[in-house]
Amino acid sequence: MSVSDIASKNSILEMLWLTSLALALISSAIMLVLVLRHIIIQHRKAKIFARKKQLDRFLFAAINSPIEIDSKAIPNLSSGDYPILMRSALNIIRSLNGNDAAKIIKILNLCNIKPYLLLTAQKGAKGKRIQSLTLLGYFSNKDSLQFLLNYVNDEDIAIQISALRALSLHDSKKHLRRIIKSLTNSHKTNVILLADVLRRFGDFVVKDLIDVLNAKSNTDVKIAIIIALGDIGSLEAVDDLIKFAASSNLDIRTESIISIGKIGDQKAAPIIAENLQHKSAKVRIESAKSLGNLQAESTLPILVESLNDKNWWVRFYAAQSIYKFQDKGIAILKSISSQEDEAGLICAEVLAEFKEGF
Amino acid sequence: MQLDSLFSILSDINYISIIIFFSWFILAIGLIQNFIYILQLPAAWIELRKYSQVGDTESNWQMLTSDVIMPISLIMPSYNEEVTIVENVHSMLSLKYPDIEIIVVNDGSKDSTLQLLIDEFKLRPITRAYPREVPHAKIKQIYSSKLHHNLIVIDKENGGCKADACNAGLNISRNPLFCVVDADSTLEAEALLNSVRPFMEDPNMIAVGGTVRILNGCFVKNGQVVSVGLPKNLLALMQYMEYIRSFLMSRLAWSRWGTLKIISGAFGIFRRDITVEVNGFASNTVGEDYELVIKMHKHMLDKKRPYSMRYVPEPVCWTEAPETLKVLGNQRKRWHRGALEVFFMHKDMFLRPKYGKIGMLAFVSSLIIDVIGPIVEGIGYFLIPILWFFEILDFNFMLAFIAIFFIFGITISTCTLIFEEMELRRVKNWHDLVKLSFVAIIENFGYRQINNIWRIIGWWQFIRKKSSWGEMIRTGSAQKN
Repeated sequence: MSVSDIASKNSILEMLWLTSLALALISSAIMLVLVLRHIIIQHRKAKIFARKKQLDRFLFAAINSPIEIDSKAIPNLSSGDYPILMRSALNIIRSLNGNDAAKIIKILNLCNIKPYLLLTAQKGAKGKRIQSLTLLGYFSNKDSLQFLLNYVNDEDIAIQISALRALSLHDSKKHLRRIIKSLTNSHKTNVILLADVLRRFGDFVVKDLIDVLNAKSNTDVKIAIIIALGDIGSLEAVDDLIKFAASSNLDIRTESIISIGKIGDQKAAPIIAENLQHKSAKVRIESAKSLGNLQAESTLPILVESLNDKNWWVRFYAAQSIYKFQDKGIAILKSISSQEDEAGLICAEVLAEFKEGF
Repeated sequence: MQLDSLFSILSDINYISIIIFFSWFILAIGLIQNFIYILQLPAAWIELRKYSQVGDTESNWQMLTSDVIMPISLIMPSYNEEVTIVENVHSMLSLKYPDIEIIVVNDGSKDSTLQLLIDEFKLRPITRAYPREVPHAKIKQIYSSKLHHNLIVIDKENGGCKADACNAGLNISRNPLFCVVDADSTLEAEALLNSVRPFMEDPNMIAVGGTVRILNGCFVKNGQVVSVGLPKNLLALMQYMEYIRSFLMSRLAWSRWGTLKIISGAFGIFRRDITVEVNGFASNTVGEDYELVIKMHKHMLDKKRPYSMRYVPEPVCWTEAPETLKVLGNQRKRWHRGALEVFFMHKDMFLRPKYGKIGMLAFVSSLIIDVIGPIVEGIGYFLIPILWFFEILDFNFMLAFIAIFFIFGITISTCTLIFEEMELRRVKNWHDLVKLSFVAIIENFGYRQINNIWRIIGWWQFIRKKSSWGEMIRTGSAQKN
């Protein structure tokens, strides 16, 4: 090995151990700084906790006060108090009924918390943005409403859903229609969370939801609306859901079947029964379940046929749905249970299970 | 004549060169391992910042009060768990989750695990229809509780491994998600809410892993950890630091790169339908949790179906750590055996472009860290000092070896502690933080080396095809009220 080879190898080795040592020392130094920071934060946290207790006591006293609270009763507040007030208010609102929640909002108005909420909703950390949007939903005036509307199509789905959820707390019918219609232009959303928010708007928006469903909207939005219509349970939606129960999109078809089952309108029984022979096991499973809720006697023969389906879950839910027909269904299951095939086995198992009340 | 020529060849070989080359090979392997860890640090930080749920209490509240939360089955495989089973089931029953079914699988226990459950929860025998989708040993009886409608206990014949018990629970479960929790583990009250959120946010999510932390030294009240403390036992303390590093660095980084290759068997949430498609947990390996995740990757990539897996740092499962070298050693040997079994079971994925980042990155890192690493490192601990002593290697080389296999680990452990402190802040007291900072240093001088020896023994057991689980002695070492 030449001298230059040895020298270059030595310099590599030197670099290795020097770099490792340097990294270890730097990381340890950063850790030391964080320990000092931890001590400072711990001390601050104790102060924040004490201040939180004071503000909580004030809020509870204000809610329970027999006389109307005015601005003179509000304690002196610094900017550091607003995050505490926001968290406390949300915690208290979760355990209150409607009137008391309105009292809290009135007190927060007197505390002049709104500028803080608006700023935090725009620029805060994600968790704080969600909290401030939620709290803004309880302020029923126009400017907070308009502010929330700006976030309905936000790119961040969590923010979008929080804004929608906050809007569902508002009572203004004119704005609800606008919110639902804006979903037509929504590009990206979360089906489950959007469905949860939409159902909170209630019966009032069913017609508008159906309009968006029939418009050229994003598939995820359509599916969310279908789920919400099922949860709302309005019979007005059944005709359109029947149409979507024949969709070529499997998710739309499946969710339509589920929603029809939740609404329970027997006029949808034929389309659901047809779906019990679909090639997708998921469609057949949900069809079997929904027929149990629809309770249309005309579907009993197809349910009995499904007891021989190749998929266990289809057989199980078909048997369960037959059981829901009570005496008639139980009689059918009993007669089939003596057969020595898959149908007989599932009928025997379901009879034994449901007889015990499960 | 042939023998003469052989001796001639052998005498011509420069053995010193071979040994020096091998020494450089040892350094190279150590360097590659450290390079992988260095790459993991920024990836872990980015993932932590992106998906951190710290401070987002509102979303959890909304999930808790909504009707759309996905129902989940909690499967608790139990074998001879009479010391902790009642308390842990109570703890699971107190979890904050609106739609949960708890399935305890008594896997042929020889102690009074089943009788304690029957007495405490007023269990009665029931019939429950279930598909035989994944294989397991015979179920003798299924029970339900008169006190808790969502508690089911399966009494079955022992299947010889945890996988068999998990499969029985899987067959009985009817919810779209399931979570396997060890019978000696305690979940935080909101752990399930935090873990299920990714499934609700991403319809392609098929598995989510959460953090496992050491219960030793914590204060437990009514089945919940009310005060987090550090273990008093030094061995448990080393494991505390090790778990932080493993979960907060490695798994976050793998999650960031889309190559999450292991979700802890102590706490993982999976989609039931996909797990059934891959035939459940494998009973021919002690690394059944690792094997399930790899199998899921393989299955989804073979079928070209979109999917995601994620590690979420917030939900925490507390578990008891071994406090003696014997029990810890058995555990580590088993873990390493499992890692090797899974690697070789699925070696057809190695360096196959079809399997994307899993085959090209995750398996390569497994080869270096799990397969070659322990043996090379073990040899290094003996060979390098000897070669230096006999002046075959110089002092710079010795220093480089110490840096790679002792000093560098300090950086990695300290950096993960920095992540923990900056983002999660679970260590409450500053003096606990100082203690952990010291542990981050000293664990590289002794603890790491003992672990390496166990991994080498695990290699030996793998070659000899040893299959037992060994015994975990429950001490109930958290303080209880």
